[in-house]
Amino acid sequence: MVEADLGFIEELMANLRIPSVAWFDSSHSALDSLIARAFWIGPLVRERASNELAKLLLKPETEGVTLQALITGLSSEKLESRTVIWLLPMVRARREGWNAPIDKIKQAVQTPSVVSETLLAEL
Amino acid sequence: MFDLGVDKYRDLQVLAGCSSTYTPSLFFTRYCRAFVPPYFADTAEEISEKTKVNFTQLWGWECERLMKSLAIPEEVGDVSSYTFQTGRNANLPGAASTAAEVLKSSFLRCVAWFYLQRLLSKEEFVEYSIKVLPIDLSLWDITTGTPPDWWPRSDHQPKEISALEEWDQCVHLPERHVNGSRLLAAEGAVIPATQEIRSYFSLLPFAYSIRGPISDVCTRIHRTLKQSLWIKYPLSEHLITIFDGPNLDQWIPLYDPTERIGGVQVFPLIAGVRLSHINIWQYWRGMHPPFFPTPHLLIKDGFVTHDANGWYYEAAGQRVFEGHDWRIGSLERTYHAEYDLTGQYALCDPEWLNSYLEKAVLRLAHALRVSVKQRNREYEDPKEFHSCWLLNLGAVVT
Repeated sequence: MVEADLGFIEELMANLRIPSVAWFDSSHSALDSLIARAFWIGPLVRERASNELAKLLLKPETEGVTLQALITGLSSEKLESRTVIWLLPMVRARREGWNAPIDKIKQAVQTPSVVSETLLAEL
Repeated sequence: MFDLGVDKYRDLQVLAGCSSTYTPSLFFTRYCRAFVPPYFADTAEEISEKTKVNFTQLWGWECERLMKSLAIPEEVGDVSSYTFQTGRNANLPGAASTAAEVLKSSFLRCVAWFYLQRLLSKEEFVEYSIKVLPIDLSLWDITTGTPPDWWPRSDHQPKEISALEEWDQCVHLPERHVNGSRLLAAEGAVIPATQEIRSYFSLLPFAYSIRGPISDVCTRIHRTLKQSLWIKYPLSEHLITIFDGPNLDQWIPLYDPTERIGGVQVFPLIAGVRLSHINIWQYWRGMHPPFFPTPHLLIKDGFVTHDANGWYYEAAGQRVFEGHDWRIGSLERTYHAEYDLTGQYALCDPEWLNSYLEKAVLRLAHALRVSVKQRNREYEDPKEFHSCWLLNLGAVVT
């Protein structure tokens, strides 16, 4: 019965090609996934991801790699509104006592606006 | 004030290339209200009308230019799953796609360009631009908690709307004390027990004196109290951290300090704090501006502060006012047939409140408005009902 079912399903699939899932052999890290969530379509997901990135900045063992990832993203960002999203974890961490490398962050901003300037003033 | 940084915007001069005959693309025209909050399109129209220069046209032009330069296709795609479900289906408030980021960025650039052209003042430039920020930094520190035990709740017994248990619970809220503090104001969803009936209430305090015969003024008084707002001056320091304090000198009250409504001289005691930006990451705090005392209750050298549990007003070494909010669930999606399961409340020191009332020779009353959505079947559109009461309004003519 099971064999017949499978055979029928195979017939229905015909020449359907299932898209490959790149997750298993992707070189992207968990940090990349978290950063992707910071730009997720849902605002609550963005907020939670941004908050977690701030926490990673506050931990000595994750600070370096997190800062580097945020600076890299910030320096290649071409939209002013997304620049704000890159800055928010850093501002959040700063309010929790993180020693922010202000000059490095300022230099990385490629699409500044009055909004990003307001955030930089809070660092 | 920080450096406005208008000279730092990238390639702003390119905006001079927009032809006066340019017509925004159909994609822009169709989705500039759908992909981002309507504030942006409304403000674009407002600026166009005020300056007699077509801001919307320039915004559309810059949006199209950015979309092309970043190779973003003009298509709706998967976004429709999140933002175009009207009616009975759930919606995702504040959903932001890549196209939405382009719309916001191009809006920012056009505002800066208009400021450079001296078509907008410095205050307007900051006010319009800062709306793009998705969260207030001080509110980010404050946890939205769980509903307190005393919050009005529905019971499981099906009833006629006129006999709902929550009516009585809401009416008795002004008598409630919590850990020695008096409940001053509360608003939010009644915690529901059934899918069929959902309720929402708003209980707002005011001081009053009676100046003449009282007519049916409840709805008008509640509306006046609800419209009482604080805003922060756009060029103030720490514009994006409303409850960091301590300065209140750059807070602006946006309402009449007192108003005579049908024989009742009304003095609002609570005003909502309207944030400078669209607080889209915690949208419930933007839709329901956090409570704060009006200037009637403020004391010299008093200041605003906050911690992880709430926001406060402190004076003479005492915490005389505290605000808190709650939610159930993530609130990621909103449902047309229901009120969002969130609320806020304000507690105060009874002596602080009484000292104002005694000094001003006024009495305390509350305006209570309750709304109910009812539907008999899940796929039905709900019917909505509203009722309003004035609580503890004495009939003493002074």
